[in-house]
Amino acid sequence: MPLIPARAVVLLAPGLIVLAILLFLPLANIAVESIRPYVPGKIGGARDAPFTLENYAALLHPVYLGYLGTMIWCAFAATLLALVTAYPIAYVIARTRTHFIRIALVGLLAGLLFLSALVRVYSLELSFGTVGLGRTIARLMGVTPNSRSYAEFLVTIGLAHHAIPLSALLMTATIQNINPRLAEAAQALGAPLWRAHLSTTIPLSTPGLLSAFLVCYTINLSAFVVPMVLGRGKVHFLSNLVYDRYGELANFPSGSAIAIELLLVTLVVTYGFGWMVRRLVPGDAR
Amino acid sequence: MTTQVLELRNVSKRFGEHLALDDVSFSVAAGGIISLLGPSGCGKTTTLRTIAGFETPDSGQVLIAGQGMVRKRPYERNVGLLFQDYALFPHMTVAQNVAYGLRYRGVNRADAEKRTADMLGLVKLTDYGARRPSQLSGGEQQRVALARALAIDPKLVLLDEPLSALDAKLRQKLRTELKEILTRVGATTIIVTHDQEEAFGIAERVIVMNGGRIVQEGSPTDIYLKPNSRFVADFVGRSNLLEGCIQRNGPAPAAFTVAGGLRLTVPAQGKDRDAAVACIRPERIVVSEEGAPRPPCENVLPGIVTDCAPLAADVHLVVTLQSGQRMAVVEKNLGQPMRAVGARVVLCFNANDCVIVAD
Amino acid sequence: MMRRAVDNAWRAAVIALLALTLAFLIGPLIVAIMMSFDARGFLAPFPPTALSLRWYGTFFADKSFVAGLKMSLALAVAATLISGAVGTAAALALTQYEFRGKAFLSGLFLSPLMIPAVVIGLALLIFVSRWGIFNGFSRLLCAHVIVTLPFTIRSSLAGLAGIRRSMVDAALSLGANDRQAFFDITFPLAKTGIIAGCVFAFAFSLDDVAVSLFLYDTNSVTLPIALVSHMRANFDLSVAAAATFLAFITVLLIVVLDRTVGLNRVIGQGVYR
Repeated sequence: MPLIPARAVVLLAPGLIVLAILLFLPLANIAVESIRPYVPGKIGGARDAPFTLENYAALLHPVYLGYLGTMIWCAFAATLLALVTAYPIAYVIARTRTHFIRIALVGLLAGLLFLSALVRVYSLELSFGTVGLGRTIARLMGVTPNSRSYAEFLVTIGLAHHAIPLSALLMTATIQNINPRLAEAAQALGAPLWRAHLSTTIPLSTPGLLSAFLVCYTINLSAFVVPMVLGRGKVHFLSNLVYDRYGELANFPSGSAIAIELLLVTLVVTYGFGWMVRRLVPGDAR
Repeated sequence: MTTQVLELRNVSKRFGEHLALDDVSFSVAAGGIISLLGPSGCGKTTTLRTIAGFETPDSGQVLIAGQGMVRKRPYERNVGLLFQDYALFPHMTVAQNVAYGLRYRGVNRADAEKRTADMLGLVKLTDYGARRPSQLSGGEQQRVALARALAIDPKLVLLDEPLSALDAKLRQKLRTELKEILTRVGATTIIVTHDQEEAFGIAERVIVMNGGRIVQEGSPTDIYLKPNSRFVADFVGRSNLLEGCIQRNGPAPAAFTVAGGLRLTVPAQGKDRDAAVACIRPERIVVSEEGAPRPPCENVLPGIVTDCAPLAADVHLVVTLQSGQRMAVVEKNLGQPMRAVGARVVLCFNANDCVIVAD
Repeated sequence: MMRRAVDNAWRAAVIALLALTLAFLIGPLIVAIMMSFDARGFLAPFPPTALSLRWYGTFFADKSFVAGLKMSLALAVAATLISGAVGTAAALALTQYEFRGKAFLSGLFLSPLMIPAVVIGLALLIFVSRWGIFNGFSRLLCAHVIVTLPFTIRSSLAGLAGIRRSMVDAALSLGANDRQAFFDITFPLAKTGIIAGCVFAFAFSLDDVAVSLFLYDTNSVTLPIALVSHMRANFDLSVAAAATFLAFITVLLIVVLDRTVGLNRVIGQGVYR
């Protein structure tokens, strides 16, 4: 089977052309753009100037590293929170025998996933902002509603709000394939319910948990709308920085550099994490 | 001028390194029902797919009704196929499934409807036309698949493991029905299977395949009573296989020496001093208690009962001979008292109850 | 006795967590929906004291919102059609033919998912500017096609791959040629996968903010962008009305998905059911 059949080539061509023109070439382009010097007032970097790493060097400034750190931490906290709270939901969907409950929950989760990010973000801003629970919760946390800490809190729960339905649906598949008799066997041997699950169901869901963690964490790192609206200008993810570079200054070289940085962070998390998972989890448990 | 509906001449097919078919030749006359029998990987499914047109042989000819078929696509061959998973179209009703083959043959609506009704009647599913395949049981799906294959009035009907997906009881019932339908329609049929009961129960002629080759061809009884090789003797039915050496002395029944000092009297087959295998079917052996009267026979082997399992209609015994070999014996279960393990018995059989096969 | 109390306490805790989570997920949406019917003319604390449709009036009267809605719908339809066709074609190539490198190509087509939306947006912007494509709709369309393509391909692939080869073979043996077998058997059975992919593509196109923010211009504003601008300038309840309206469209899409594909099939049954 040496070459691709002619008909298959015809069918693949549009997709490949679209990908090449609308994705790969543009990506290559910004990689090049990121190593061009910025010329204020000019759209795009200087074409003739020699290549430079100044755009990347600028990112090592403590302020930017601070943004990177906040982003990594908020996304991580949100993912963790989402996994813990989504697990019971996934469990119920996987184990319930009542058709209605299953359909209702799956429909709800699917609906939440489909729901426009703006709607979710707006609803959260409304409910947890100053006209909603904002003042109460901020007081409980010991900060003011307009502080940076509260903004980080909002961003985190905003990210979780999207991650919870996604991870619940992802983990449902895993839990469905775990034999329910195992937890029952543990109970028959004398373990209380919580211990039975801790020793059987949860360890066996590890591959699904890791996979859901990976997916949600990557999505959270790339988040744009949530930090933009809920961050209230006090929390900046790398994606917001890219937009700022473009919107405020038309500094494409710097924006490109940040974009490449974001891309690298995402890829490192995806593949690095995946590699780690492969090392830690035995082959047949995946 | 040939009256053979199907003729395969020296068909060979290779998949990469693996030789799936090695110079396969056979033919089927009109109305005949034959079976390709063999273990998985023996090439029977490849043969089927080659006849149907889904595989192209590397060399050789496939002739259907005298016409060379190698260049023709499946839809140009007028062959009806019954797939192992039935392959009923889930988005069409039963009637639409059965009538599908008539769609591209220029059959008008009225004739197609009549033909569909006839076919459904043939498989005893007359009122099932409006149902969907998902609403049918396994046996019903199989019958619809058969009706669909027969509806196009094919020159040749190919069945791929037709009964393997059904449970034992259903299998027996459908086996007889299948045979009845195929004979009634007069369809020339090839059944591919690894199950001997399927093959022997339906086909009049069996072709045993192994490793891409035809190993033996004949009626079920011939194959059973006169296997031509150790493989056939072992694959078809149960048998006791004893490796040993032939000692011929002219036309008289030969002697056969087996390890452990066992000497058998066997038919005059094979060459003197050749290594061979003696095959004795378990049901041909008569068991008597030691010391009890027994029929006269040419082979008398004393031994001890090591297992006795009453399996419904038969009793399966394992008897270990003094020379060490374990022999399987089958007796009819007529309510006699079961033989005790450790009982001393004597096995009797004649030379004609043995077959000598090459290894 | 002690053990049962422990078990009950555990169950109660888990149920409480479940209820809290569901409240967190749904609560804010209910708040937004209720506030959209608020009769008060300004943003006041929840809950509304009286109900009215005034904010819907404001929403539909606002030219930028209505124009945005039209643009978003037009974009979503166009992008879905294009990426649906391109994606299905690619999925067909990957399932109906045998050749090497299929896994690689498959991964390639799904790669836009791995790339953050902002990166795609900026990259496309610089690229189309260089090539002189200045029409707002065209630029937005390019972005939406590339973003929705993985969904249509993945869904069509799943639908096509699930069709057993024996069914196509059966059609061929019964007299249908390759084209007829495709349209009689393969296409109808793959339809659900293709449609599901299109529904996903439509929803994601409607919702897109990150990529669109780079490529819109004053004449081609999508609804999400109009909403974002409005939210930043003036955080009032007309956005709540818009949000409720969008949520309603989402529910419609889910119903469509359930009717065509069946939500149960989206999750599967698992081995122990």
